[in-house]
Amino acid sequence: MRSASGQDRRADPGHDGSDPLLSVRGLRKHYPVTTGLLGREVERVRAVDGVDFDVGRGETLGLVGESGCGKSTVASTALRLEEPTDGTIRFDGEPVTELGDRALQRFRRRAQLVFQDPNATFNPRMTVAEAVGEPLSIHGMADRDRRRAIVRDLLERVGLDGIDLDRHPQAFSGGQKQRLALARSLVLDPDLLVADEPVSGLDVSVQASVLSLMADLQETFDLSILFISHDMSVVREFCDRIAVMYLGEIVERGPVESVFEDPAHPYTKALLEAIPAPDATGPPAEPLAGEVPDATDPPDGCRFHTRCPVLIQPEGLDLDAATWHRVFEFRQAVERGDIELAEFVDGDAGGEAAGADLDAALRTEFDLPATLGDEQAEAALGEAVDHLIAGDDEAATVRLRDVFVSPCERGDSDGRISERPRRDGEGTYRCERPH
Amino acid sequence: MGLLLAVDLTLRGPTEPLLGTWEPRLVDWLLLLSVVLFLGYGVLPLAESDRTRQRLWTLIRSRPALAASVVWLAIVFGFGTVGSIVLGTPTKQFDIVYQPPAFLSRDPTFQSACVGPVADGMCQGSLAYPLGTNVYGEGIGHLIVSGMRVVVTLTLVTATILISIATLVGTVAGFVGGRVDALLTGYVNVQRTVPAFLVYVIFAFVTKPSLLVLIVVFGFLNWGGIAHVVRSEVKAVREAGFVRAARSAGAGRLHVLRYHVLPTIAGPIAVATTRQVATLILIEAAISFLELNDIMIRSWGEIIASGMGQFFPLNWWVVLGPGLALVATVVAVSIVGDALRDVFDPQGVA
Amino acid sequence: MTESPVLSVEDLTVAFDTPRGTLTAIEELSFEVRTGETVCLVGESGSGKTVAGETITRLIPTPPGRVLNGSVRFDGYDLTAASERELRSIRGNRIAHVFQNPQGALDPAYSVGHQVAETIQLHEDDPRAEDRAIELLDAVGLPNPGRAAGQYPHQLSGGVKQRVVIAAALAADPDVLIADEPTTALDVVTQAQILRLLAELQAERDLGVLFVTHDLGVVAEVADRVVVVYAGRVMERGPVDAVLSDPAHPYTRALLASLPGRGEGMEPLDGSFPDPQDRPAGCLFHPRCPHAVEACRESVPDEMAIGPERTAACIYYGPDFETSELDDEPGFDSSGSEDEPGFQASALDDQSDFESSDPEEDSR
Repeated sequence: MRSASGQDRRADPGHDGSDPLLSVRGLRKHYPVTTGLLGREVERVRAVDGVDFDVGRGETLGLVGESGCGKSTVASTALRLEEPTDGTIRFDGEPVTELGDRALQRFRRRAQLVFQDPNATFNPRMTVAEAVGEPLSIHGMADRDRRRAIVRDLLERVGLDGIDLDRHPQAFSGGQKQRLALARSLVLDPDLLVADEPVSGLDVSVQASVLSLMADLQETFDLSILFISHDMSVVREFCDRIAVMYLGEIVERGPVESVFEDPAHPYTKALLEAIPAPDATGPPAEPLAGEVPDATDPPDGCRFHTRCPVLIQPEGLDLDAATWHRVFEFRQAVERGDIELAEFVDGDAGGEAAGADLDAALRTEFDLPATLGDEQAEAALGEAVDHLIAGDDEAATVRLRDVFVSPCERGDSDGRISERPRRDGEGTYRCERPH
Repeated sequence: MGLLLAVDLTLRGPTEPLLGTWEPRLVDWLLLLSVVLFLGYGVLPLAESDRTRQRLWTLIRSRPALAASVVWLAIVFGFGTVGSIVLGTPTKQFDIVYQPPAFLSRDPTFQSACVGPVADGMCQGSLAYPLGTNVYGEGIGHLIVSGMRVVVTLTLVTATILISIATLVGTVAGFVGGRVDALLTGYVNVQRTVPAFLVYVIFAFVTKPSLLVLIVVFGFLNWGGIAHVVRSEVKAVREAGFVRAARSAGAGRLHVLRYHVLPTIAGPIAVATTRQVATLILIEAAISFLELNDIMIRSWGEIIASGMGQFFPLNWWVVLGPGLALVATVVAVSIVGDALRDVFDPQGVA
Repeated sequence: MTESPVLSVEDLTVAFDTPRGTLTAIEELSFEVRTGETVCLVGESGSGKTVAGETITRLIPTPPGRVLNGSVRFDGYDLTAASERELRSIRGNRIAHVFQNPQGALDPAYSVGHQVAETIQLHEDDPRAEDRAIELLDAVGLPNPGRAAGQYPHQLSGGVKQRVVIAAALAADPDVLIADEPTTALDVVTQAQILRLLAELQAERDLGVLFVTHDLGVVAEVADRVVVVYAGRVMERGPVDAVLSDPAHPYTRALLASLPGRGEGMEPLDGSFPDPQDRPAGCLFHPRCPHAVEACRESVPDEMAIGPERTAACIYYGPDFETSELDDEPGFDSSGSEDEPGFQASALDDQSDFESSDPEEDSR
């Protein structure tokens, strides 16, 4: 199912290989949130925040991540359907970001987009012939008969020969509509196809035939494909290389099989473990806790650190792993303001007795032992709890931050974690932990 | 058409007629323009498209009311444009006022001469004036036809103005968005509070009442509702997946406008406009009753109003004919308007 | 896990009357759910799985739906014959539903705490409803449930909303939970969290769960027993491990083989789903089955027993055939050609009518 191209596929940034068809560096897309008549910016949604990748000629790169990670935004900015806030995009050596109108038109002939929702992708008023042939008329092919002939040819290639060109796309099933969408994307004979969740809306059995079709088309048309999906299994089946996104950043990249068999980044691991598989052996692993943070205010340093099951302890702290995690969770809860003391108060006990009770109650709630092993840690924790009981959340936070700060929160000079090579030398990942 | 206009402006003297007895005035030029636009941009493209022809035909066959409406409107339109030119204005013949319709008789109180046979002291109608005559001795049938001309002028010209402005404003607001949109919408909301009827009445008092004034007032004040509809549709289309697909294939704004936006808004515009038009016809009749119209323009409202004088209800035939025509036309316009929506919307299902 | 079934569906047949004809949604569907166990109804578009779930508590509008045959037994009642009053006392109270889209289940105008409390109030007059609501929100894993109770649906993420929906479903302490694709709209990590939550809650409350899904991976994770449905009929049933590791019916096999990313290659299924108005004669799957023979067209195969609590509706498991033939290369070339477009196109002209009456069609 992988592309049969004999190309050297290790076209990672900085890595030697045949020059890539699409090359993206430092891509950023921020959406400002404004308020008031004058549109003063209050905050910005950092949908894509510094993304680099290459798509080699003839290869398929899978971009995966959960919803909100920015992968669809990558698709639209890479094709300049939206203007990137920052970064360079090169297509076949030429910078896309600076193209004038005419050159942009030419670019659009060579790079096409396929969408997720086959229903929204067709104008209900247009017939199959008009809709599939639209790119041709956009690029100046005025001869209606010639367009029809090309459309007919493409429809045959996507396994839809014999359908009535004058019907409307709505009349067809989801799988067939997606085939129509593929046909439309290929009428201009592009070099690059960006497929944004192309099979996510289809039945399982239909997915297989559409994917199979896409593989054939890739061969026939010698396509490079940027395949965006939240479905790791589909990516594993279809792609040569994979890039995993979390909150606007790529956290790991590499050849598909290597990444699946030996994931370097904790998030990749968590994603893989979360996939329910029909041939799973044994009970499923504990799923990742919490939710994806808000893109307007991403966590410091490693963006994944707030949920990371293997968060690194600060040097000098000597707690066992489980306790460290719970203390960290406690710290996060305090910072979020999630601790409602009222919930822990029992009856109208007051004064000193209440203090000790509250301390115990809090520790129980967060599964913390009565005393932490490490002296420094226990002191900090005890004092922080006292602050909380006294109602001073801020002081508690400060005290907790004295001791319980992970190196994962700091990163490099620009506040981010840099990419380092994976264990097998193929691909990179973005984490402080060694692979 | 431009040729005719040029000829008229240059060659014609102030009182010389242009073609035969036809003396075009401003209103008539506007009518001509509207007819041309209507046929050129409206009817012809529709007729060319096989699909719409088919759909229209299927609809007509399945709905008798629609068939009847289309036929009636065709009559009105045909007679209105051509018929009145052919027949000319009705001539006043004071000696044969108040003839009853054919095969019916009139009350003996009418003193005028009787064209038809007299029976039992009552004048009978004749086929010379099959629908009777009015107070001026004009044939009712003839009057109805000239009324058709008025209706056609009124509706087509106003519709042209309404559609043009509304489409322009609505499309710009929906397509461009942002401050421009906010500005335009704000203005439209204010304009919609201004009642065209009242404005016309004021005009009619201050200056001479005329059909042209009514058309202008209505046309330039009532496009707000249609613009609103256009704007929502344009916005919806702009966000639609297929527009994104077209853009990713390299479509510019113009392509999107021409091939996606315009076809989509055609239906809603047609529906909204026909509603306005139906209302306008009734308003014109109301204005005639209030005697705020140009009584030289023989609209149906005017004929009815003049017929409701001292002899009413004895001269019922003066009122009935035009009255029925009026009602029929308003109803027909509404029915066709609704049908147009179904014609334009391929699936019929939301 | 006790042996007695808490919910028992027998020979259920449901059809919809549309202007273009009568569409059969499910046919002779039988299964049972015992206390504390999870039964999965697995199927794709047109399988009727959603209709089945909704018919149990008669949520299907009847017209245009009609229960043509069969029974649904719950706690001594036959729900197909029960009165509307009896049904209302059972819905939410004894049998609760969790649907795919939390968006639709939550009213944007009220806080989530209020909505959970309301479910409680519907079935019992409890002055402590608000507090119990908070307890429930805590039970479904919301951090700071007190604060969450005051929030509105639009302020919450999909995963949190679904937890709220589950809380509301469990509010009246039902015996059976019918979950229709509860995690399909969620990300894989959130899905894993919700599935785990459901498993915990089920164990705590000894619930019987009917889990409707199209995802075989989810089936593997949550089900004790699985019922595979195609075009409204049962193709295969059995304990989940057995069915998934050693599928019996050709459809189940084909479905498993078409799953991507398993490292064994992926084989698409030929053909397309049957037209609801023009269902194939005999075995509903035979037009796409690589092993179909003449006999498959002649009659609908019964479910043949093939093991403890396992059946498969395929003649190959009957007395006249060798089961091993199914493992060989397909001999008979069925009519399965890729997406017969002509057939499909005309068939789906009627799809729009079907969609309006069968909610199943919209959600794959």
